[in-house]
Amino acid sequence: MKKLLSVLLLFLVAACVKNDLIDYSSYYFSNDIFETQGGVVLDASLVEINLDKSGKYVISLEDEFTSKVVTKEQFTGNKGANVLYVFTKIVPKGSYYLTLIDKNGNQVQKTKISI
Amino acid sequence: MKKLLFLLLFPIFAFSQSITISVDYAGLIVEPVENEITPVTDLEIGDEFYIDITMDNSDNSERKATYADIWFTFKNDAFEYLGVINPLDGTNNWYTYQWPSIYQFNNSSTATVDDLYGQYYTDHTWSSVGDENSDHAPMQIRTQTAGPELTGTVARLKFKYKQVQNGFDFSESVFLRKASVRDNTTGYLFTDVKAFPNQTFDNAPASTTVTAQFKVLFPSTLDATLFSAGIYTPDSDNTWVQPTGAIYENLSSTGTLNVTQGFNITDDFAVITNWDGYVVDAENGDYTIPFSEQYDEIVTISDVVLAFNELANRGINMDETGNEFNYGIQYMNADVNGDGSFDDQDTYLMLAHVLDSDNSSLLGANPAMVMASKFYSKADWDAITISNYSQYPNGTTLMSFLDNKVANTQQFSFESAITWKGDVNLSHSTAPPAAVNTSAIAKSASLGVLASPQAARFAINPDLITISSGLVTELKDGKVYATVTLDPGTQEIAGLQYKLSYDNTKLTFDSINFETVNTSTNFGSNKQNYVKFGSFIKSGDEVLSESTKYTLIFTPKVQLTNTLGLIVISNTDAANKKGQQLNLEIK
Repeated sequence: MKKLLSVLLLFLVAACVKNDLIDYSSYYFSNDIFETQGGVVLDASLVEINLDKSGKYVISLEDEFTSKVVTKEQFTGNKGANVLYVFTKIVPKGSYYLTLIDKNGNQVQKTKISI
Repeated sequence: MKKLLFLLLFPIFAFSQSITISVDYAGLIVEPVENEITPVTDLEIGDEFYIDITMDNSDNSERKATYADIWFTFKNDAFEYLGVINPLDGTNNWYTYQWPSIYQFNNSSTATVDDLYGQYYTDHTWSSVGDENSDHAPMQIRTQTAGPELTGTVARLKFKYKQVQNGFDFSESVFLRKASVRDNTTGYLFTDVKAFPNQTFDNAPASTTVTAQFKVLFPSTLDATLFSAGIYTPDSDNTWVQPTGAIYENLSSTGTLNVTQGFNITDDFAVITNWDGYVVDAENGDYTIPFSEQYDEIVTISDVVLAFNELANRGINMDETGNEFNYGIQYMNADVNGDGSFDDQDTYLMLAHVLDSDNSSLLGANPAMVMASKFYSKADWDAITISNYSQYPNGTTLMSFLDNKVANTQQFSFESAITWKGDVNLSHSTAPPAAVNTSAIAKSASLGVLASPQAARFAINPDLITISSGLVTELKDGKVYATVTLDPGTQEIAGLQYKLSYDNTKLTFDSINFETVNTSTNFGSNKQNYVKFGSFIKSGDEVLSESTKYTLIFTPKVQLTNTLGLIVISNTDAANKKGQQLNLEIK
């Protein structure tokens, strides 16, 4: 009986854990985003990035017409395929360059996307 | 032979007798000058006038028109029917009837529109379409005499022009539809009854053809579509209300609004322009930007630096003015407490607003646009100078009064300048006319800088000196860090301000760390979906150098693995020690 109670309590606790995972199932760029030109990226899209080596990288969104950076993130990437989220809810609608830069400041990849 | 010819032609003669019926303007019911008919083109809304129904018989030697049943329609939205006069003065039988305005006349499929006989006796119909769908009210006049012919004016109708919306379609206001005309003596029915020369009455009072457009001269730093406006007029209680038919809607992207509906050249009018802030976002859902957020971009640190400099740079005897300001409107905007003079109390209030100290705001407790906006006619705006600005009203308002009482004008175009309490550098104001402050220009030239640097506005002067900042976000130890750094180049930076927006559905703002010089006054405040922060050095030799760094810390509300797009810099502002506004780019 105690065992059953413990199992039930476990389920109860599990049910009460905050489940705020974002539903990212809608948008997924299964191929390397930098191999695609002009893709439309919606909020909480998943993009795939292939890296030649692991390390620190910076990825940024730069307005195509004003050349202003609106957002930039530093992340640690692994060699091979990496999946990143792109959040666009507060990014003004427009056309942007998505740019990947390595830790030495060298541009690794660049593509154009629409938000 | 002659007899044969006559017999051949007789049918033509016999059937060539025609009746014409016409609708003709016949003057005002009460003419201002006796025996003079006011021209129809002079008629105006409210005028009472005659429309005559006239008949003519081309040959009454054998057959006379002694009976007529004439149907016409009139636009009862434009006309008030006041009655009809029988010109035959009781020597005939007389009948008139006005039908309700719910019918629509459908022309015969075989007769032409001006063939009144054909319309009468073939397949015309009346459809009951309801008052809303019927522009016309049908009316019938039936008259007959025992002897005298019905000729000339057979009915004199009395109408009054109603108040209608500008642009009302007055064409075919009166329209002859069908008629049956007989010779009662012989029983002959006239088969050639035409509407001629005037089947319709189409006059449009000149005032109803007036068009009026209003335009706010927005600078490029404001989005005109986030503002809405409408035309207003005072009612009998002196309360400003919208006239009938007037629109209230968002301004176009160029700041224009059609104010034709409800406009005239006799009443007082003003256009009220207010903040709307509604943004359509099909992807993420529509939302409204509060005015306070817009105002945070209007009054910024560069306004404060410029205002401080104007007060500080007053010459050896501290009695000079205009060493930093170039325009009279700058003094007006700098007088934020509205006491009629620009002084230290004003700069203190401006600084408190930018710093958000104790939730201090120039908007007061009511963060509405009316607390900050000012409108001036383009003529006044261009006339305001440093020497005469005190003669102009400086209170905040939403109203632009229209100079509309101009006769003989059909197309009105009103332009209004917009400016703001606290917008000392005119960054979000209508571009002022060319600077006339020669001392400031000379000083600028001697310094080797822009000709009118202090009022350098994005809209006025796209050639601002540019400096840069860096922004990078990172997810680290379960927190999101946004680091903002400064690259001042050769500039001596006295003021910096950033608006950093964040996705508040996924992040909660925790804190901000400042790494600046000791004499810097740093400020930062969370506004639910953005953080306003920056630094200001009021005096001394120190400046904000390349070591300046701001670190903002957020806690994720959801499980994150990276942060791209969750934090963006949406607005920046900077000023150097000279009070020049700088273009601060994010790299």
